[in-house]
Amino acid sequence: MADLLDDHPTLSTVPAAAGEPAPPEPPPPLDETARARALLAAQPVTEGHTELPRSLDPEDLPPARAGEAGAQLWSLHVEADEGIVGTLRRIDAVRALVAACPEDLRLAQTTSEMAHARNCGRVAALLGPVAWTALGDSAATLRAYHALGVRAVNLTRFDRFARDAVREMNRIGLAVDLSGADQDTVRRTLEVTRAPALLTRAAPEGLPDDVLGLLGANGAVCMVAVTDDPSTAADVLDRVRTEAGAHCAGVSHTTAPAVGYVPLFAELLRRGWSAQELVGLAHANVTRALRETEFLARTNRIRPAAA
Amino acid sequence: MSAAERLAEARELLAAHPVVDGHNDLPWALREHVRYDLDRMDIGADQTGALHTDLARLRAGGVGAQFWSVYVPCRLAGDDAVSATLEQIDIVDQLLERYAGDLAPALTADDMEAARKEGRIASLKGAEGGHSINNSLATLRALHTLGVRYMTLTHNDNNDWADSATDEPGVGGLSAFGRRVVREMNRSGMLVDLSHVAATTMRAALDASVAPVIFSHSSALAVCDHPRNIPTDVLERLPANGGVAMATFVPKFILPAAVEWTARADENLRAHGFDHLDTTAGAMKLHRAFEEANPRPVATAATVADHLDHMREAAGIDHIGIGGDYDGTAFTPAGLDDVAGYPNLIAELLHRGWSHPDLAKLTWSNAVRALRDAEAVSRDLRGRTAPSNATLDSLDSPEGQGA
Repeated sequence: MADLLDDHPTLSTVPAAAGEPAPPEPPPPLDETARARALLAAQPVTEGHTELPRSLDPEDLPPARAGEAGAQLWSLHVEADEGIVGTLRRIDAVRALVAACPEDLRLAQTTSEMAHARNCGRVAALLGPVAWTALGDSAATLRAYHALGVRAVNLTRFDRFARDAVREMNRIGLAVDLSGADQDTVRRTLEVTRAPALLTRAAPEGLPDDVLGLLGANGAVCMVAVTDDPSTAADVLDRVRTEAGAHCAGVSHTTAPAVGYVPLFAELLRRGWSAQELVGLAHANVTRALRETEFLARTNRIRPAAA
Repeated sequence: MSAAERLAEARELLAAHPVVDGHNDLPWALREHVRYDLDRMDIGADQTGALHTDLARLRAGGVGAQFWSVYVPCRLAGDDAVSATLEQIDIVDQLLERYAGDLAPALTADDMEAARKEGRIASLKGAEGGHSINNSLATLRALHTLGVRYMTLTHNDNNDWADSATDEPGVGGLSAFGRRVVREMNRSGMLVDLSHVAATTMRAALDASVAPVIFSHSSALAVCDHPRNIPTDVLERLPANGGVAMATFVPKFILPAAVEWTARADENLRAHGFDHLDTTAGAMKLHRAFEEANPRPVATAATVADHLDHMREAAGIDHIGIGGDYDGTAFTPAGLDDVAGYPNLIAELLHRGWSHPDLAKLTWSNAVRALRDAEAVSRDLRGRTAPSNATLDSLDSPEGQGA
């Protein structure tokens, strides 16, 4: 299957029809907004964070097809007191939503299925992350979530269970999401994990430069929230690019769906980001991290299950 | 025909028509004995004395399919019950990975047939007690996705929506939410298991279910008056429902003398100030003294055959099966001591004149048919109904009554 990284955006305009007597005026150079729009049309965004409504009332479900998204991670976060059953309800609700919107959504459990959904014109829906409090400190629960299609777990504290849990996640192919983790947790997790981490709701402003450097070495993806003012996210992403590397940049979600991602991508073009780096930001970096997680699991699963 | 010839004939029959056993508690035994450490309790080796179950004895017993119970006790509630159930499911999956040469994962009737052709033991999962879903239909569907193919509606205690045979009457059978659980099981393709439930619950579930039900390990009340057994009027409803009652081997449920003996032993404990479930040293000492003075009555393969004769008469040859409850009971009948014992039961039934085609239905085809029919109902319901998101509150609270 063609790798999404190879699909470079077409930035040229349509050539003039043959047979016209005079060569047309050369088109004016595209401005950044037009280039960003063209890029996003060809390279839809993989959003790190999509939410179900708390109520799970079918009336309140979000619109199935979000503007510029090609894939979405569906958060399965629950309050601490909702635990496992609350998480299973959310998995069930996402599955029901996908089943109710077959023209728009398709469940994806692998990067191949993500690409396939896109080739079919559907938005790929990935399950995860689940909340750390929804594991009940049990590796069996971790494996049950994986069997139910979940592909990421949000590790927020490095407790006694975490070391074994991270190794088990590496073994079975669950991405470690470090959103909301303090720098100590990030450091300790990166010492253990052999797969790239995700930060589906990254807040890098809370992390010192050297931790960003560690994330860069790990290949982690810092998925940043976008607002109606593109310069805020652009500042954060510039810092990620400087301290961790452009391969660590990703998009979490937008708080201004009407505005979308074009102004951000235009702003980053103005700040000197290359088209290749922006493809990475849109989806290629997170796809690469998920693919490495899958690959590690394939090579790891010959090892026995953790107790 | 001599006894030895009948036994040889039974083994030959089982080679072609192996046993589908409805209930085996090996997963819980592995949890209790070795905290799921499969290196310390290897069923690939001989576990005689430690467990009723290991691979060699399953083979010797002619077992072709096993519903492994992912039981958790009623003292676990809420998320703890769900989490423990996930651990039980997980250990079955680990067994399937570890012993893949002997155990074949099976989710459908077709999988069972395929495993039989390959000479592997089809392995299915059954949950034992509605407390495993913590009043959540989404959790029920998750268990189905994880491979659970039956759920016993209760264990020894009532839950919020169904009455147990061994508890006081609660909702009076099934509540409105309980009936919705049954329908959602029909829709998912999970068999409704009526072992352990009160007779009121059995009748209510037969009213509510549009798919075959099973009794994964229950025998006949008319033969032995114990609440864990099935009343004749319920057995007589199985032909219309298509379900299967799988006779169990637990002596204190099937042998009247053992029922009476157990009652006297319990009374003896209570008379000395102990609870009848007490296993402390003092209680056990008292119990051993009682057992020395009053030898424990012993059930045999003939005891089980008595039940099967009655169940056959009441439900018909197409609606009976076998559910030993091995590793879920401390005592077993003589001759049916462990999972290698099924040929002795088949030999006894041959002695009573059961034909080969009848025995093939008992051992294999009835249970496979029930699962296949439940799959067909599920396909139909999935095609025309949406999954239910009803809650206990929405159906069973005073405002929701009658919904």
